[in-house]
Amino acid sequence: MSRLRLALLWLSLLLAAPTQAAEEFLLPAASPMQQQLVIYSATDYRYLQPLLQYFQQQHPQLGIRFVDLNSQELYERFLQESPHSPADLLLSSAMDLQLKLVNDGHARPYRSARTLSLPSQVHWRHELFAFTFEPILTVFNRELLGAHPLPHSRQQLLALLREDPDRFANRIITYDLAASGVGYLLASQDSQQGLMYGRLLEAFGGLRVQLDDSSNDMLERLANGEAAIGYNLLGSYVASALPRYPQLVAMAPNDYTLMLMRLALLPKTAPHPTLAGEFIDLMLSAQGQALLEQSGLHPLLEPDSGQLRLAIQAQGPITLIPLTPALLPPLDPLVKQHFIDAWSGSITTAPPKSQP
Amino acid sequence: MSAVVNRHPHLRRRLLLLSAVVLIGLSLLATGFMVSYSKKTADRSYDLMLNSAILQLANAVRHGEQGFMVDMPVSAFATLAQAPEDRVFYRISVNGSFLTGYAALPTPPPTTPSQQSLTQQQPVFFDALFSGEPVRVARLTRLNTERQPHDEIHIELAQTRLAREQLKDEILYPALKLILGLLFSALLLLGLGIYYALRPFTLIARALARRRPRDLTPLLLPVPKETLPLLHTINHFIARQQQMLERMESTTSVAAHQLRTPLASLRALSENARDEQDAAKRKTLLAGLIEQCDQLSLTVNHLLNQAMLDHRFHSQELLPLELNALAKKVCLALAVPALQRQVELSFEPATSPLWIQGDEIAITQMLNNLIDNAVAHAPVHTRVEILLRTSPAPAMLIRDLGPGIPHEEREKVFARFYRGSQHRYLGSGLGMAIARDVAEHHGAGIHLHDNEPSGLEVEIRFNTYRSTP
Repeated sequence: MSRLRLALLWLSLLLAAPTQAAEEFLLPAASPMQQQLVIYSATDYRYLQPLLQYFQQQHPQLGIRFVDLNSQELYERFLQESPHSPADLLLSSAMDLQLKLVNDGHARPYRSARTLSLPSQVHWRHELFAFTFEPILTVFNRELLGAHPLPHSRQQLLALLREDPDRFANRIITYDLAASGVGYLLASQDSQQGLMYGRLLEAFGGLRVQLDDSSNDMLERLANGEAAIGYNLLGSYVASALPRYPQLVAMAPNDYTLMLMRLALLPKTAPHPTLAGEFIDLMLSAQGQALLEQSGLHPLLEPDSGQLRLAIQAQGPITLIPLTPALLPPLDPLVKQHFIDAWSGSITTAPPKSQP
Repeated sequence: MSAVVNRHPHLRRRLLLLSAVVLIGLSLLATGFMVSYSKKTADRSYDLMLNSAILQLANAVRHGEQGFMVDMPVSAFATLAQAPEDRVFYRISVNGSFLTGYAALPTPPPTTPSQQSLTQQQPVFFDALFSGEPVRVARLTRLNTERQPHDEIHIELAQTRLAREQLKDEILYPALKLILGLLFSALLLLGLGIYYALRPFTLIARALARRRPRDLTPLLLPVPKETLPLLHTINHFIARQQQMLERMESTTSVAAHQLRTPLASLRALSENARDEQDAAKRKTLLAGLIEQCDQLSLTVNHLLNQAMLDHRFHSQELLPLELNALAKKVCLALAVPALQRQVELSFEPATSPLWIQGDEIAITQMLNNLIDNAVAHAPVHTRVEILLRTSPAPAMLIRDLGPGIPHEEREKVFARFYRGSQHRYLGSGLGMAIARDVAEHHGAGIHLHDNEPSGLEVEIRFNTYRSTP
């Protein structure tokens, strides 16, 4: 550990995209650097740091450049740079965007003994590999709930909002669909589950929902009392926040709990595909899965059998977002525009004066 | 050596090669059929899925307040996920202008406009290349009748061919395995069959090769019916060899004996003549010596003739031969020596030409011997008659007025070196045997009859003859 000096760099990408900022982490090589593996990730650096370091121990001459991006930024930046992107690996939980990259032919298939033994639900075409699970949770600030019992389903949540609208006005927070790839994915998946999401959205809109594009920010705002209800937050971030903020409580809705997979993709243009493939193998190995679990992510595979593991204790049914082209229709520009328009419409049904 | 090998076709290899070529040809045909069949079948099953998806997609295109919009049906894409590994592309265009999807998706091969109805109930399918992979494209045209004039909506839905190829392989590979299996078992069976069919030849060859040189007994092998004729022929050949060998052995030993005795006798006579003081007696002895010499000369002559005829019988073909002319020639040649013995020859040809297939030299020899015999046995001042006739059977007759042959001896006279009980005349004891050999070689019978008023009639009766060559 000590021989690895961590450099934390702040970089503003003013030329490429003025509004986008990316955190970059450089892990220099222990011996004189021969190669640099470039990883674009929508998963926070701290979750992957142990894995990256372990990988470097095995490749002492390897430097790693880790670019931490939000899932939508990651998708756009990669396409912007294409075909000269330096990225060797794209890690993102925006399953639909990752799948679209594969569908549009940007990925390179990777086959190893490890990936060939994967269950079919967790990879697509050997070009897209899931490496962790992510239950989608609703988080409450217990202190702000007052006397209300903790809701356990979307129906109960809706009932709660209707019962005490004043308490929750301006105190609900969820993903900004327009800015966050994961947020849009979760919303479109929710809308496919039935009418409940529409009603919930209407209620959110009426109560002037706050929007954000980062689970961690939302958790902080929940913790400091800016918000009382956080809807559709990523399980691993929640899990690591709960010990820090005892006032927070997480709920896996028992009508259905969405389950997201973090996906790794090896771009066709990757400068170091062999290394990137080895890194995928490591992520999917028992050792890699253990390291991911230690840093707070939900491992995908049982350490021994390589079987699918559903680690979340949910009350109700689990809806695993399937890794199939069925993720594509919501990404159609027309559909997405229409969906976001309708969504903004619902959100802005709040009193006119609250509009920006 | 190789030239010899080339000149003798390798039967087993040829049979195998021929059947292999035929079988491989058939297998290739079957494979070709299976390839197209499996592709068609795989396409048909996945086209159904693509068909259902594109119909859902077509229903999702509507004209709303802000122009055309697509309520992109997730279910359509979930349907396509039955081919779980395949990428999906689509393009929706309205009145020829691109609305959404993948603008670069290939257009279908051109069809004649008259054949294509404006609004289709069923999509058309075609194969193309897109995004580096072969794809199957469905294309459907719909009319939006909500507006005037109607809008023409084109929908293309494409899918990579992985699942199709996989299904195709799932159909094709077992079939290919079956075809290959059948091909190899057929070749193996054929190889075995050919080996077993040709094995009797090898067995016969091996049995012959194993034989000791003096072993001329028939080959006894349990060979199949089909090779039995070959075995029979070989056994027949062996039997003939055996016969020839036996005959040669006996002839040689008898001939040796026949030559040794007169030579010893010659020597005795010569010694006697040398030691005889009395001139008259010596003269008689010398006359006997000369007679012995003649006898020996005749025997040697006949032996050589017989050897010559044996050789001719094996080497010469039978040619058309006219017997009247031949007999006349022989009679003319023998007339003078006969007259020296004071015997007349009379020749009477047949009334029409007598053609046979024969060996001129052999027949001449036979006639020579028979006429010589007749002349030798004929009393002086008698006549030997040679006549030819065509009926009741074509035959040559030689008649003399000599003592004839007693009935009990008539078979024996044909044996070699048999000189008859009287042994009164000069002879080799081979003349009649040679005559019979010649007659038999020509398929003729030789018969002895009593002549009138006395003597012997020799009849050579031919079985086959013609009046023309």
